[in-house]
Amino acid sequence: MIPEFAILGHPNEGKSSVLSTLAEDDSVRVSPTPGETTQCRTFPVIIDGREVLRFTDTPGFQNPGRVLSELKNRTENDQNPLKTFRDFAATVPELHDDHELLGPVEKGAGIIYVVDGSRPVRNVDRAEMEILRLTGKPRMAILNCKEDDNEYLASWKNEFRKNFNANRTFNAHRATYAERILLLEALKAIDQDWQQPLSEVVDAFKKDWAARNNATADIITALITDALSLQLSENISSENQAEQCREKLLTRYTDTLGRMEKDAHRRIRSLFKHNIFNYDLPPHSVLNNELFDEKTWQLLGLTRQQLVIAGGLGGAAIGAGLEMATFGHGLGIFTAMGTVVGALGALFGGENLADKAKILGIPLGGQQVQVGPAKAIDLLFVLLNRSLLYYRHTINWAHGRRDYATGQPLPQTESPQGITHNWSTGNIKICHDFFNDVHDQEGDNHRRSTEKFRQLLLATMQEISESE
Amino acid sequence: MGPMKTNRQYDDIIDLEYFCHRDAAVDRSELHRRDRNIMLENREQPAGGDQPTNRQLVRLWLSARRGSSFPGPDRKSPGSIFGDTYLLARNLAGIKGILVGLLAGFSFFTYAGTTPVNVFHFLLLFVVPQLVLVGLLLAAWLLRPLLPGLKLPSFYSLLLRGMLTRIAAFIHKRWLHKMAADQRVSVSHAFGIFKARSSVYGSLFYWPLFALFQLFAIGFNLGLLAMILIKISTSDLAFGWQSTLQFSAEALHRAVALAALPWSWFVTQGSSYPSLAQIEGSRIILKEGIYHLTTGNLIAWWPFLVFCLLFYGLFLRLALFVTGKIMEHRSLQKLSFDTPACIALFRRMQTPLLSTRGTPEQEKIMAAEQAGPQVPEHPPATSSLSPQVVLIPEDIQSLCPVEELEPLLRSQGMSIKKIQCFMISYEEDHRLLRLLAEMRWDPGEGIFLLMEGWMVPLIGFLSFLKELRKTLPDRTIINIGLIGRPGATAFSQVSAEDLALWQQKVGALGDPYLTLSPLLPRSSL
Repeated sequence: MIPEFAILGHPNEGKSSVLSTLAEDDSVRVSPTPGETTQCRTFPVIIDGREVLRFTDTPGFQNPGRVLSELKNRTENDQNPLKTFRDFAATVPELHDDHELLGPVEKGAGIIYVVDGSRPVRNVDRAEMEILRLTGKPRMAILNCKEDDNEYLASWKNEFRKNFNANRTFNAHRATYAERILLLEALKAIDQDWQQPLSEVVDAFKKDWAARNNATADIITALITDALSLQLSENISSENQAEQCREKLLTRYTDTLGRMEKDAHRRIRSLFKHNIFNYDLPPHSVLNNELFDEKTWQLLGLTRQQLVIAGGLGGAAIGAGLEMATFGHGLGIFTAMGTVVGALGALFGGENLADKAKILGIPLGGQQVQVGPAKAIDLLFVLLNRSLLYYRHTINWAHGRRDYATGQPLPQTESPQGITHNWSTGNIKICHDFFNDVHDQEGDNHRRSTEKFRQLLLATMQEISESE
Repeated sequence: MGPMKTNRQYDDIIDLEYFCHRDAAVDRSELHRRDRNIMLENREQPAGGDQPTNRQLVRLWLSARRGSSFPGPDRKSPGSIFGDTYLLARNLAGIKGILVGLLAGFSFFTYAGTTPVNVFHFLLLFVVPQLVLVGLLLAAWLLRPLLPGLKLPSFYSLLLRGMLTRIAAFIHKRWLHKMAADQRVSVSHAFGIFKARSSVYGSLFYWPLFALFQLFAIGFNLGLLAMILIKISTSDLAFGWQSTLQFSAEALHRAVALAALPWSWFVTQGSSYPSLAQIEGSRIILKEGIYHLTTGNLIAWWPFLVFCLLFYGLFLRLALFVTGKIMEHRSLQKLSFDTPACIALFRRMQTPLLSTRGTPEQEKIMAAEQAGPQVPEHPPATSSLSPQVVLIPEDIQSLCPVEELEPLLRSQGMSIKKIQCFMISYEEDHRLLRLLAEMRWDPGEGIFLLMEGWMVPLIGFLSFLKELRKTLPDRTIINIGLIGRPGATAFSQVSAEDLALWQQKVGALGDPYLTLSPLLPRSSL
């Protein structure tokens, strides 16, 4: 028989949210009005076409006092009190929900009892817990705190100890991948018979997650490769047109980068089975900003010291990057200059390089205006940090959560430094090598550095997944 | 009581409902201030120094409320809109009836002069249907008092309310369960409001509709009569009868004589109904044609037909119209303004506004606000307090000391008669219901249930309310006071969302003598 877990509880305690998060299904109807769920709904876990486990969402208890009383009356001289009670409840309209919710339990499902731990325990809850105890089925309690109030947790846990084999805290709105795995692991403990299928499920979940991370790493790597190689050019007939044309190309360059990034993020989102949740990072304006002003420093996700390292490693590239908006053949001179100012500028920040940018903006004569490919490693760090932030936000947006409008913090406020903030010199070097080899698509170096970069991404994502 | 006055009463009822509905969202102390002032400003108006009756209070209040909410002739209250509409509908019904009658008569008597008007057709078209309809109506009326003897609900409520429950069940089955929970709740709430209103007003709003039908029928008969008389005096009409069934002229004569009983005793035999010879003489036999029939026999039928219309159409309808008016008057007289909203209104009007507060000191007020539940500073006089059996859930009983609860209840015009603990278990709650059933209830006493508004109103609780209603004497008011999540004390403010949900859920019960309100006035936050 396929192990089944029924999610039971008082109305409006977040049963559907818990299930939605656990099953990664944001199509589950969740609402602040109690009584949203009136029919049981099953969520099978299918591995390689074989159903190994199923979760069932149920309506909330509507008559706990009466159900307990009826069940107790039947317990004394009845072989299967639950069945006779359900037969009786089927004939009483008021007991519809109670009849429905005990259906899976009668068929042998394990019980996951969900309560809102931020409210006090009441007699109705005690009645519900006793009903579940009387069913004699393996059961675990989950504290899903809807508000940040820990005052009642102790009294809840006290009640749980009397009636449940295990209990856990699981916030349906904030649960991460790691917490979902922990919850599944904990379910193993409530009945020995279910250990094997549950282990299988946990294992499959982990593999599935690793596969999604791999796919994400591919998406991010491809995005950065494409973005760094992006090159736009246009022929001009006279120098007078240069400034105007440069402006136009820059706008197109920024738009194209934005589109590429958005597309990559959409693909990441669908990997994590988000259908309703739609999150867009606020547009980044690094290309319009002075490259090294204080704001950009933070957005790059590097400390000053890291930037010195990055600058020293690729000072030439940084210098060249500033030429993005200038004629291509002016490159050589300013690259040499850039090597020096790159390190200096990185160390002292701000103004002096901003001044340079202006000097570099003067067209030196020629027939073609070209923007890109990016010669500055900055773009890599900007896109990398934004993608990792997006990844973090996506995987941590629980499927049971529905406050899409309110729950979208800006990445700047969430993490002012970006995710690469505490990366080691080694990691920075991996990025640097990847950046350097990006244009050399054929070489072995490129393959090696890309793979290293991917591994770095995977390790970072795994770390993000398992944090909290 | 003339018809104008009756209509005014309908306007009043509608306005009363309208204003009470609007007041539901207004803070209690503000309502008290307003309604007491209405009373004080119009103190002279109720006749003599006696206590004004409820009816007088309602009139007084309504005229003041209409004056302030709908000033000027261009702004009309829902009641007066109803009044105007009804007047228009009444006139239209009469005029329409006359027109339809004229038209029906005109088309029926469009007569080419080749065949006489078939008397049977006339009777079948214009008299029999009217008699059948009246017969059905009388049968329905007769059944009404008989049915309670058979322990069945009244015909009206059997028809209307039974239908309502069935419609609700049908709707629930077909598409309600597919709706989102919030929509489902508001649909049930709307049904509940309708159920509550129809149980307070009963058949009251049936009579104006009934009168409209009668007016139409009166108009119809008048129009038809006028057209017959016009046709008879301006054209040469012949009347005859025919039938494939070979019944004798004697049998028809007996039937006609029987039908003419209501008028044959005062009208001479010749004109009240046709004689046997005339009946025989006006029989049309298809193969023989009408040329052999004499004119005297062919015109003998018309007075009988006119009398039929007069007695079985016009007079009967007039009688029904008058009966309807009497019934309407009686049910208006029977209307007692005893719903919780009205009782609260009368209490507000009759309770003096009392304030013993000193000149405000800013810091102290701040301190007092943090101290705990706020009690409005003008408790009503003890004489008007309604004693309550207070039910407190066992979960919060220890958090609700009597000395804190008592002033809160007093601010709502209630006193504590007895405190009972409930929501212990299903069995205990039923024991309590039996205890309440055995208790002696004096008039004006009610029951007060303290509930935690942040808890979801379960079906179990709603069922308990239904049981409670069956237990208590008729029209005993059940008050539910909501409190918020307990802090240092149980008496905290209930949130607006929770209150709205409770109002919808409890409102869906359709119990007009059940009130639900926050225990703490909303302004005290």
